[in-house]
Amino acid sequence: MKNIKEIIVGVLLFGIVIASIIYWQATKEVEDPTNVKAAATMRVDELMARDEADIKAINGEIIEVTGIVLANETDATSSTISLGMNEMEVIVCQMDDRHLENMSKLTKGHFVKFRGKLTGQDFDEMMGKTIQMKNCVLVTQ
Amino acid sequence: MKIVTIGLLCFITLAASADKYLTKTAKISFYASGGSEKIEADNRAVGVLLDSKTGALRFLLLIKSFVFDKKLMQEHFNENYLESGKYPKASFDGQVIDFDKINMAKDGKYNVKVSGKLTIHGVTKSVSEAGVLLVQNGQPNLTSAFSITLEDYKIKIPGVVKDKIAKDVKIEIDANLKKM
Repeated sequence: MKNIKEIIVGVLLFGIVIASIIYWQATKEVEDPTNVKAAATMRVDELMARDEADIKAINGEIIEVTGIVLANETDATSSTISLGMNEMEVIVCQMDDRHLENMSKLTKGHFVKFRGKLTGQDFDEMMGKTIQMKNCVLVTQ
Repeated sequence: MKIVTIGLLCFITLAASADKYLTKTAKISFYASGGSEKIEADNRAVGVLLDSKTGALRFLLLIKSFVFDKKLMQEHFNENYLESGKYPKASFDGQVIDFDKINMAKDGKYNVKVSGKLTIHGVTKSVSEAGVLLVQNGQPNLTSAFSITLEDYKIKIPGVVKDKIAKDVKIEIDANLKKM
């Protein structure tokens, strides 16, 4: 009788542990790059000069980019900042919405360093070249 | 001769872009909740090009640029459902119907119809959707809300999570364009 009781308690505990792991995995937020070591640090022009294969090699990595703010589209819930000299060759950074403080203060011409996840590049004859990053945070300004 | 050629090329480029409006930070959101769990994401790095001479409209986006709150949801979206490694981009190439009735030089709100080819997950479909084009100070803002059926784009959802994900996904577009 005692053995059956122990087995039931053991199974229940095992079930609770498994359920907790599943719940933890399912509710885990996307990585906050604030304290993540960047796989690479480069200037906007260095990143723009890379070809598609080079970008593919670091796609999905957390990288740091330094450059000049071209445009800032920030509101209460989101911020998207473009880095570069002109719209035809630009790095679009979707800022991490957990770190929006001070983002509205950035204006065209500010020199900044962002850290975030590289999500790829897009090239179109009429639209030009765009390199995209997401969950970006401001490192220095 | 070289200077003349460069000058001519610059002129052609300027002339070609004179009637074009561009943004690389348009926003596309999707809502796919089939149950109580919130399944949605935004992509605020969408490229949109509008040719005001012809009404030609183009959207380009990277699937991996969709931003999620939950890590596991983002992984499943990219690896299992949209297969972003295999199909990294989605696009729309089409036309604003009756664009000649829109006066880009005057402020106004126009209900528009857009039709063209939508490519998602490597599948291209002809679509026709309604939207609103708001012209303010010579700058157009294009918004639209419509639904797509996952099955139409061969996006397979495993049986275990079938009830949690909607079969028809609601898409919202918001593009603030600027003259090139």
